[in-house]
Amino acid sequence: MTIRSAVPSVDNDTPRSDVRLDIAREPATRAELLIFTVYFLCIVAIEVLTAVARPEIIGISSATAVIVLLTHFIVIDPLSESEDKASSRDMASLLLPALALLPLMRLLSIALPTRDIPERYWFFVVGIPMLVGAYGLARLLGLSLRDVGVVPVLNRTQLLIAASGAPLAVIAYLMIQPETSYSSGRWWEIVIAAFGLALFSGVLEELIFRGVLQPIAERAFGPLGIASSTVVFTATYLGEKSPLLLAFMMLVGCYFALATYRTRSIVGVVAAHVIFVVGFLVVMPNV
Amino acid sequence: MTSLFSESSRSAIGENALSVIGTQLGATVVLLTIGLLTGRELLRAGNRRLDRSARAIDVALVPLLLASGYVIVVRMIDILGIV
Repeated sequence: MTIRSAVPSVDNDTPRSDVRLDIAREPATRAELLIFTVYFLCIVAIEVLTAVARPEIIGISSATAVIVLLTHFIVIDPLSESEDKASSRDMASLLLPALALLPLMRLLSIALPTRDIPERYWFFVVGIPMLVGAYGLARLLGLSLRDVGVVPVLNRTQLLIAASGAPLAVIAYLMIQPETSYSSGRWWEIVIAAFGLALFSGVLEELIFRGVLQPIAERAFGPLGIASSTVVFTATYLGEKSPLLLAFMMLVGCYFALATYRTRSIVGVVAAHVIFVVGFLVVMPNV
Repeated sequence: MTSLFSESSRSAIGENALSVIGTQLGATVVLLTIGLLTGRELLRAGNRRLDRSARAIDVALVPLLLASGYVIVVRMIDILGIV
């Protein structure tokens, strides 16, 4: 069974990996399932800390999680060129650097001195490094655009999924009327806020959760993998301290996860998420 | 209201303005960056086989370096009184 395809590197100094998701890989064992359950729970615990603990505790626990996850990945060494090293842990181990992005995102979101600049620019300050990190992750794992679900096909299903973002925004706004600064100010300030929300909330979140985390978790753990990536997505909203919004985002997460799973594309859910978040935080407050 | 910035994150950013907490968080980020940089270089200097997996560190390191660059620019602007 082909477990890995190593593409000969043109430049010997910069070898590249090619761990395409369509390559057959063995599923995870029970022990790996246990280990990754602990990791998923740790990520959720950090998000719980975000809601209840002091910033320095969140910072230290996030930094520790990043180090532990990356060290585990290096110790397992799944991208090793020696073919005999390949084992059933391969697929699950690819989750490690993907999971490391989540505590990193939390650390940057609280540590960067963003208080002195208007809230509409916060997304750029944290989002640009995270977008670069997500690109680096896709490159590390050798994922193509198709692997992460960027399939440039706009069919009726994708358009319907995209359009569903509008009712979701209306429902969310009717449930919780948020007080944000995104919807106020001069027109160009509102446009910048909408652009930041669209790119760094809509696109980035879907790229990380549905584009990278979900397909790898699904191939490693089956339906449990989809569920766990959705749980982690929901957990990132624990800091809202609103059970209603948390329950709503859990449903939205399940819907996006299923839509991605059924269509094998994130184009529709990215568009839906963009419409949802811009509608919820920018458009609806002005209606 | 988003994964990046929840209500609690906003509160934390507010507290971040307090110098002690801001310094502690900054120190955490700096230590993490130095730790990852050191680990990456040690791995690269050691076994070539580990070079590939060591690149996993870049996934966290590059965003941290970009963030550090941002902090330096903000501090310089602050010190020089440009804005």
